[in-house]
Amino acid sequence: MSEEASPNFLIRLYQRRDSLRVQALLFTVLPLAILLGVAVAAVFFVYQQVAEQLALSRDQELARVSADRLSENMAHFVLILTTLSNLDIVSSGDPTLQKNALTQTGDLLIDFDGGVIVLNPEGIVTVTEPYRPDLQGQDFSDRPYFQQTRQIRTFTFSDIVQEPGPGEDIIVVAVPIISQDGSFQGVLAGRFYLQFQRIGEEIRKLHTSELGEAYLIDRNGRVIYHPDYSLIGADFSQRVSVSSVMQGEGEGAVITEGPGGQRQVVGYDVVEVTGWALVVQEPWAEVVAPAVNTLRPIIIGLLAAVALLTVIVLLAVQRVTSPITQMAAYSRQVAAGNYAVQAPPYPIAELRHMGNAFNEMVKQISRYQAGLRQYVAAITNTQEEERRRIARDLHDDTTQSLIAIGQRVELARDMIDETPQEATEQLSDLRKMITRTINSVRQFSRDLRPTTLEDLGLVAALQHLVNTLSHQDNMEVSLSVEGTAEGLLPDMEIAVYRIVQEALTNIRKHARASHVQLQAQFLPQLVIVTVRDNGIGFKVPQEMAELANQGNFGLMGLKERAQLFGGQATITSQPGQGTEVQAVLPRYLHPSQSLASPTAEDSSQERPS
Amino acid sequence: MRSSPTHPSLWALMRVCMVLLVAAQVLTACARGQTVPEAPGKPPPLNPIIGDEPVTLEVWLSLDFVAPDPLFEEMAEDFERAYPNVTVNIHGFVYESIPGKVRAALQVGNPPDLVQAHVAAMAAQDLAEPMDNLWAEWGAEDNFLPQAIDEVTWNKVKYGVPLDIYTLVLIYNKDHFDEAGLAYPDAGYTWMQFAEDAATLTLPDGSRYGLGFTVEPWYVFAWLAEAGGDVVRGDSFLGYRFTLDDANNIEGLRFLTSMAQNGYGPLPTSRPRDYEDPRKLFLNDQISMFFGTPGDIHRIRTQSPDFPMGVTELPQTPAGAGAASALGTTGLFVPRGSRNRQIAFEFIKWATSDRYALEMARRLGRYPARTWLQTTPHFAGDAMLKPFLTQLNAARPYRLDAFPEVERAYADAIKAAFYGADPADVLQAAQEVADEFSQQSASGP
Repeated sequence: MSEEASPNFLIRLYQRRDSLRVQALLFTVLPLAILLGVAVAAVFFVYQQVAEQLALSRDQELARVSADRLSENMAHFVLILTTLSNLDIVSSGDPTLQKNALTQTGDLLIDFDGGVIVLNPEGIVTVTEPYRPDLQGQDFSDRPYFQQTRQIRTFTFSDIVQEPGPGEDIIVVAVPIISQDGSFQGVLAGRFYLQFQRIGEEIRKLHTSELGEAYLIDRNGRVIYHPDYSLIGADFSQRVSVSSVMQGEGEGAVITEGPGGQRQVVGYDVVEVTGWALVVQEPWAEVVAPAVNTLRPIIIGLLAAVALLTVIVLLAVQRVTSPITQMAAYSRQVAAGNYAVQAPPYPIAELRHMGNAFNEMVKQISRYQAGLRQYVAAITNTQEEERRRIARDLHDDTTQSLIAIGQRVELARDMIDETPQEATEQLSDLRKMITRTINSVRQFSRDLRPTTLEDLGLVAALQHLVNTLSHQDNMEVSLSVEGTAEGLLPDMEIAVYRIVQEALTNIRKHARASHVQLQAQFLPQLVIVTVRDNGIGFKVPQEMAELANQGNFGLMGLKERAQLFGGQATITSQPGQGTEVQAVLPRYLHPSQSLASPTAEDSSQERPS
Repeated sequence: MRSSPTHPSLWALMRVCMVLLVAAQVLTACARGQTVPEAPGKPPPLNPIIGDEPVTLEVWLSLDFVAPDPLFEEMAEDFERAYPNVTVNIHGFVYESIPGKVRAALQVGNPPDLVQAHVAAMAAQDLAEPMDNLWAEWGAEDNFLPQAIDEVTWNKVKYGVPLDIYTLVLIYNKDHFDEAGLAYPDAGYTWMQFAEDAATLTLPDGSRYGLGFTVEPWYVFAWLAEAGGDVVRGDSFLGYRFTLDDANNIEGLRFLTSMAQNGYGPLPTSRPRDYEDPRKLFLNDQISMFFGTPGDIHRIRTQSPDFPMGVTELPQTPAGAGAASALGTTGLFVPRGSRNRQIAFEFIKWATSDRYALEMARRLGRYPARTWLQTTPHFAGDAMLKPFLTQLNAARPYRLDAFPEVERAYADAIKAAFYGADPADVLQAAQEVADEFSQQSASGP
C-alpha cells in the first residue's frame, strides 16, 4: 500500500465502519490480534526478565570459573619462580651462581617474555636473564612489588608498572629468595610486557560466547589484557564493573551500557592469586538472541495466522454478505413490482432458510397483489354499478317523480283560476306525489347510509341487522352485547357495523345456516365482535388473498377493514362445522395510525359479498 | 660437516656468482610474465584431498600479522567456508617467542598444525616437517623469489613456504635534513657521511639524536653484512662455520657502537623487540634516522601519512655494493608430528596466494616473497619501497637463529658492546661460545 493510499484506505474504512465486513474485523480479528500481541509481548517480557537473570548468573559464574582458571595459571608462574628461588645456587645470593641457574633453566623461563631479574636484598638488579645491560644495577627498591615481597615474604603480582627507558608497561611476578637460614636474599621477578600479551594467552584459552569477551584489569583499573589490542593499558576504572571490583566487591554481574550505547551483560570476579579482576562481558543482544530467534518465527507465525484469519473472516463475511446484498437487490426488484425474482438456494443453511422465506414472501406478495388487484377491480366495478344504479334510480324514479310533480304544479297553476276545485285535487295528488318522492329519496338515502346507526346508535344498528337477517332469511339470530359502546368514535362504530354487516351478509349468501350468534364485546381497550354460524363452513385458505382470487371479496374486505383500524380479523371454519368470524379492534386508535378518509368510508357503499 | 672455503677472493667470487644467480632467476621469472594481479584474485581451487572429516587447524602466527588487522582471520573464515569440515583457530604470539613455544609444544606432544617463523631456523632445530613432496605436487616454486625459497630450505629440503620478505633500509626525516642543510641520503650514501650527518643532526640539548639504535641481532647483522662481515658462512648442505669475531664484524660493530657512545643516538634498552623503539622515537621527532624494514615504512605511513619520511639503502661501506643489508623472511611450516600436514599445506597455499598476499602487502605492509613483487608497478613504482626491493638482490640471509645458543652469545655481545664493552672482546667471547657449541653439537658446524 502506498503512503498516499493509506489515508484513503482509513477514510474508506471509517466510512464503511458499520458494514458487516468492518464490524467483523473490528470485533473479531482486531481483538484477537490485540490479544495475541499482548500475549506475545507478555511472554517476551517475561522471557527477557528470565533471560536477564540467567545471563547475569551465567556471566557471573563464567567470570568466577574463568578467574579461578586464570588464577591457577598464574599460580603456575609463581610455582616456576618459587622452584627456582628455592634452588641453593639461587638462594645463596651469589649473582654469578644465580645467573648460571637462570641461564641453565632458560626453557622454564620462556613464558616470562620480559625476562627474569634478580633483585638483591637492597632492591638492586644484580642478574638479568636474558642479558639486560640497561637494567643491570638499577635500583628497584622503591617498587611496590619488591617492598611487598620483602615484607610479607611471599609471592606478589604487581599492577601495571612502567619499565625504565621508553616506559613500556609491564607486569611483574615476584617471589622472595630466602636462604636456608631464613634470611631474605632478595627477589626473583618474572616480567611480562603487556604489549606481548603473554597473559592474554591464558585468557584467550577461556571460552566466552561468540561475541563475548574477557579482559583483565589490575587493581588500579588498568587493562592488562583485552582482546581489542588497542585497549591494552587503557584505564577502565570508570567502568561500573571495574569500579565495583576496585571498591572491594569481589564478584558480581551487572547490565551496563557499552561505549557504543549497546547494552552489555558484564560478570566480574577477582583473580585470587593476583588480586586482579577478570571481566567477562557479552552483548545483551546476543544474550537475548536465542529468545528473539525463538520468538521471531512465533511472531511471524502469529502475524501470518492473524492475516490468514483476517482473510478467512473476510471470505466468511463475504459468503454471508454477498447473499444478503443479493437479496437486498432482489427486494428492490420486488418493490419495483418484479415478482418473478427468486433467491437461489444458498449454501449456508440460515441464508438458505432466509432465501426460502424471501421466496415465499414474494409469492405471497404476488398473490396478495393479484388478489388486491381483483379486489380493487371488483370494488371499482361495484362503485360504477352503484353509480349507475343511483343515476338510474334518480332518473327513473326521483327525476321522473319531480318532472311529474312539476307538470302537476303547472297544471294546478293553470287550473287554479278556472277550476279551483280541480286545482285543489291536483294539489292533493301533488302532495301525495311529493310524499312518495320524499319516501323514495329517504329510502334511497337509507340505502346509502345506515341511518339506524346514526339515529339509534351502534348496538341498536347491530340489533337491526340481526332482526333484518332473522326476518328476511328465517334464521335464528341472537345478539349478545358486553360492555358499552358509548364513547366509540364514529369511524370505529361504522367499522364495527360494516364488519358485522359483511359477516351476516356472507352467512346469508353462503352459509346456509339456521342459527347465528353475534357477540359484541366493548372492552376498555378493545372491541371484539364475533359472529358464529352453524352453516356448511368452508376450508379457509392459508392466504386471505386467495379469497379475493376466489371472488370472495366480502371476507377479504372484512379483514382489510379490521386492519385499517389497527386490528385484525380471523376466520375460523371447517367444512360442515360452521364458521366463526372474529374481529378484534383497538378501542381507541393510536395517533400514529392513519386511516383512509372516514368520510369516504362513511359514504362508501356496502360491499357486495 | 665439511668446512667451507676461506680464501677472500673465493668468497668474493662466490658472492658475485650468487648475486648473478639471483638476478638471473629474477629476470627469468619476469620474462615468464610473472605479473601481479591488480585486483585480488581467487583463492586456490578446492582440493578434494581435504576430505570431509572434521578437522581443527591450530595456526600460530606472529602477533604483528594478527593484531593490527583481521586479514588472516578473514582468510580463515574464507577457508572454513570453502572447507566446511575444517575449523581454523588463529593464534597470535610475539614472533620471537614462537620457536620456544613450538619446542615446548613438541615436548608435550601437542604441536600446532601450522606456524609462522623463520623456517630454515626451525628446520635446523628439527622442529619442522619436510614438504618437498607437497611442493612438487603444488608446482608453484617458480612463483616465489629464489632467495625466499632458500629461507625455507635446510639441507636442500624445503620445510615450508615463504610468506613475506624484507630487508633493512635507512629511514630518515627529510625536515631534519633540510633544517640542518644536509643533502638527503641516497644510494651512494657512505657510512662516513652517515656518521657525520648523525653528528650534525644531533642537537646539543639532547632533544634530538641523529640515529636510533637497536641491539636486535638481525638488525645489527645487517650492518655487519653491509660492512662486509658475516656471522655464519657456508650453507646448510656443505656445513656452516661461525665467524662471529670476523674482522669486518668487529669493525662494523665498533663503528656502530661508537656512534652510540659518541652520543649520536640514545642507548638502546636491550629489552625484547627493542627494534620497535627507534620507530617510536622517529615518529616522536626524537631521532632523525634509523634502520627499519618495509613494515616500519608502512606503519609510519599509516600512523602519520604526512610524515616527512625519506627512505634509502643502507650506507655503503668500504666493503662495496656487493655487501648489502640482511635478508629477512618469515614462512609457514608444519611442526614435526603434526597430524594435519596436508590440510595445513592447503591453508599455506591460501595464505600465500595472490588474493591474500596482495592484501597482506596493502593492509599490513608485509610484502609477499613472490616474483612479481619486484616488477609490479604498485610496488616497484613506490619510491619508499624501491631501496628495499633493490637490496633484495644482494641482501645476505641470516642463519644464526638456526643455532639459538650461539645467537644468544652473539646477542649478549652486541648488548655488551653498546653498553661499553670492547666489540672485539665481546665478539671473541661469543665466538668461543660458538666454537664450544660446534664441538659439542653433533649437528653443528
